[in-house]
This record gives sequence, C-alpha cells and structure tokens, in this order.
Amino acid sequence: MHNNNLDYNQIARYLAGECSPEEVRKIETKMKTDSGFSRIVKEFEKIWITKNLDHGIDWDMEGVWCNIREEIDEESRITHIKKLKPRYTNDNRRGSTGMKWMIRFAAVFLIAALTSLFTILYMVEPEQEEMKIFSEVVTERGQRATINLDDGSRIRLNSGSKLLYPEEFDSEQRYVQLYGEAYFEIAGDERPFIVKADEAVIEILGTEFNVYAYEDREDIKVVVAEGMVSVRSDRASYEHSASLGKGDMATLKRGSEGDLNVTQNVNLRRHLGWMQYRLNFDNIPLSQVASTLQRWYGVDIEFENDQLRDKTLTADFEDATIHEVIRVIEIAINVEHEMKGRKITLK
Amino acid sequence: MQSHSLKKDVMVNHKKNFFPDQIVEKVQQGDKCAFAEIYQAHFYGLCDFSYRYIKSQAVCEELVQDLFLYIWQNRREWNPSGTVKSYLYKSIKNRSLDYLKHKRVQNEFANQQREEIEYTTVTQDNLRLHKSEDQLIKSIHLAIESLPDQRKMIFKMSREDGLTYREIAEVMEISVKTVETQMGRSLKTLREHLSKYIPGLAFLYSHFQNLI
Repeated sequence: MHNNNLDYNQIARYLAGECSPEEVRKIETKMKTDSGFSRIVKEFEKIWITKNLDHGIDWDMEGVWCNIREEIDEESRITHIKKLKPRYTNDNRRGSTGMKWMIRFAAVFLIAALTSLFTILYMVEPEQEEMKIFSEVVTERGQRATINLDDGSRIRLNSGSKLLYPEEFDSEQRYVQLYGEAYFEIAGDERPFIVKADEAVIEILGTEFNVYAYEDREDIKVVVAEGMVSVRSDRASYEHSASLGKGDMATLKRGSEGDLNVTQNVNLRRHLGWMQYRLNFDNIPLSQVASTLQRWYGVDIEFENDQLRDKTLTADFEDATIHEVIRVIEIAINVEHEMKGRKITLK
Repeated sequence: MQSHSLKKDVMVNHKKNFFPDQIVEKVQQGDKCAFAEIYQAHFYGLCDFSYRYIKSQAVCEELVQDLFLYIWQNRREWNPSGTVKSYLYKSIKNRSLDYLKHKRVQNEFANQQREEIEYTTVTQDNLRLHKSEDQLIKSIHLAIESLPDQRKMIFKMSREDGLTYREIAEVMEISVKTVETQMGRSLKTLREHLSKYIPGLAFLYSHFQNLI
C-alpha cells in the first residue's frame, strides 16, 4: 500500500480526543493547507460519528434499576430485623415477672412485635449537605422496643417514641435522634455519642442516662444514671453546655432561650422506673397522667368534665394493669370511669 | 412497580451537586442517590459492551444488574484504582467472559482477545442492516465488523463508549501504547476496506496519492 506518509495513529488519537492542544493545532493547520489530508480526516470523522449500528436493543434501564433498588432495600431491612431481634429475648429474660407481664399484655406486646415499623428514611442534614440513610424504630402507644446498636450501645425506647439512627455510624461521631423517651446505655468508644432530642443536644462518651422529650410536654429532661453527660440546648453554643454526673437531672424548657436547670441527686428510681414497668406520679395534673397512660397502655382517655384535668394525682404503680391504675385514680380523686373497648371516660 | 424511579433518585443526587471525585466516597458511605447517578451514566454503555461478548439482552442486563449489586454490597471496600468508568467496563468484561466460560460456550472469541490473530467474523447476524440505510453507513459498519476481534473491541470502546486510551488499557489489561497502535491499525484497515466499497473514497484515496 502507498500510505506511508499517513500517520494513522495520530489521526486515531485526534478522533479519540487523545491529542494534546498543540497536536490538535498542528493537525488543523495541516488540514487547512493540505486539501487531500483534510478530506481524509473528514472521511474518518464521518466513519467516527456513524454510531450504534450493531444492534438496536431497547435496554430496560428503569426495570433493572427497580430490581437493584428492591434488592438493596431488602438487604437493609434484613440487617435491621437481625439487629433488632435480640430485644424480644432480652425482655423475656425478665423471668417470672416478665412472664406475668407478658401474659397480661400479650395482646399489646404482640402488636408491638408485629407492627414495629422499620423504614428507611432519606434525611438531608442541612449543615453537611450530605445524605445519610437512617433507620427508624417507632413504638406505638402501648409498645416498647430495645435497640442494640452496632457499637454495643443499647437503647430502650418507651412507648409512643421514635428513634432515628444511621445504618452505620461514621468515623467521627455516633449521632441519633430521639422523639419521646428512651434510656441509653452507651458503650465506651472514642467517638462521642450524640443524642438530639427535640431542642436538647446530649453528648456522651460512654454512660447510662434517660432522656424524656415527649412533644406534648413542656420540659425535656435528661437524667444520668452512670458516668458523665454534657447537655445543651440546640440554640446554645458548645461552651454553654452543662455537665451532668450520676443522679443529676437537666431540665430544658421547650421554646426557652436555652436555659438549663440542673437538679442534683434526683430520685433515679422514679425517673428510670419505666423500664421496670413502674409508673410514678408525684402531684401530677390528671391531664398529664392521662397522656402518660394513653401512651403506656394504648388507651384513649377522655374527660367528661374539663375541671377534672387540673386535679392532681400522687401514686406509684408497679407492673399494674390499666384497670388497676384506673381503680386507684377513681379512689384517689373521687371520679368514676366508663370503659368501652380501649376508650375510657372519666366523670 | 416504579416506586424506585431512577429519575427521582438521580434528581435527588443532582440537587446535592457532587464533584465527580466525591461520588465514590458517597457510595462508600451508603448514598443510594450517588449510586443511582453512576448507574444512570453507565447502564447503556455497559449493556452494549457486554452485548459484544454475549448476544442475549436478558443475560447482559442481568450481568449489569449483578455488577451493581456487587458494588453496593461491597461498597465499604469499593475503591476503584482507575476511573469509575474503566472499573465498570473491566468488571463487566470479566463477568461476560466468566459467563461464557461457565456456559461452556466459550469459543475462540475469548482466546482471540489475547492473541493477535488476523481473523474476521463477519456473519449475517452482525450485519442486521436495513435497505433504507445508506450505502456508506452500511459499508462503514461492515468494515468495522470485519476488524479482528480485539481491535474491533478497542475501536468500539474508543468510538462508541468514549473511553480514553488509558481507560481502554486498564479494561483490556494492555499498555496505552498497544491501544494507540491498535487504533491506528484499525483506521488503516477500515480505509483499505472502505476503498473497496466506496468508489468515492477510492477516488479520494488516489487523489490524495497524486497530491503527495
């Protein structure tokens, strides 16, 4: 063949976009001055841009993606169920009292087991502009859950609460979000554990404490059972956080300027009693008692007379049924009740 | 079921506007939308590429699906040495060849990948052309299909898949120099073939010779 003068490698590089700017300039100059070379390059360009003739297959991009999504969503669901499974065995280990309770609340508990919601949420963290996949555990009224996290920490979620935690903690911190009430047993780790509970930010390295942050309550309360915890309002800077030790309680008034009220030597039994199925009311208005009972037992409580709401109750219950609780209220406040299914009317 | 709309996933990713070099990191961290973005960018290319080895739409789609599932399941350790693109193409090449091996239908095709045999496979199937297509396009297509297999593969990876020479070298496990030589030879062969098919090109060719 008589094509010794044609640098095919160079033309190929030119077409493939592999030439340096100088080389491109050289080729384009040559094309301007050499019409034969120019035609050949143009012919190759035509060959180059004539595309996709070997088949006209209609690849199913959406369909394949659906399969992938289903599979990877399924994968995360399975790991969460695995992760959460021990909680039922843990609660069963309570022995005879546990069994008694189990029978009493079998129905409620079964509903808890069956309806606990595991969903994956996309949550955009506005500060970091990045997306994390959070798992969500929701306890309905009358339900509880124990969540064992990967780092060895254990969180016991009271009824009517929600915990959001990442599929996997990142390397710098362990961050979870709480709505409602939970008791945290945090495994020691060099990464701080951060609980965001409504307006409160709680930072720990490894300890045990209770957070009480139900939306319908004025106060958010953090009680420390073991170790040290730092608490601040999300409006306050890091320097304004309060350090709590064993037996200390921080109270944050919702909507305040971030002022923390620290009480020392609180009654731990009272504040952590919910885990032993103890209900403690200390001069609490009936309206608040009712909302606790609604959450605790999954009932609806109505007042026939609004004046009843402000009456206060002082009583302790341990492992009591809703009937027992209502009977005590009847005697203590001198009211009567009517029960239809899950609806209780006080009059 | 279209609840996991790809468009939606990719759109969420666009809102966050990643720099390309962060996308691998995002996937490592479990970001499904960044993952969707990679999928969308390469799905068609990978299917077409796999189809060059395996002439079955269902198998090709399955191989691509398996590859993406594999990446996701191993995302924490996912750290492609070259570009994401060359990683994907190399993986799908290996998966396609494995498939052929396992199916025991491995013909000389895979062997030819490594050997420099000037051997052409022009079959009726390769030439599914329509009468309406213009003569030049037909000829170009035929000429490309007539290239030796490894050359054809390299040529298509550059022209159709838009891979850089470096990426092609990574995928095919050859040197960049070899890619360059193969590309040049492909052009030369194409030109020789096309000169037979197109009087116009032959004319140009001789005209060019006269000019020298």
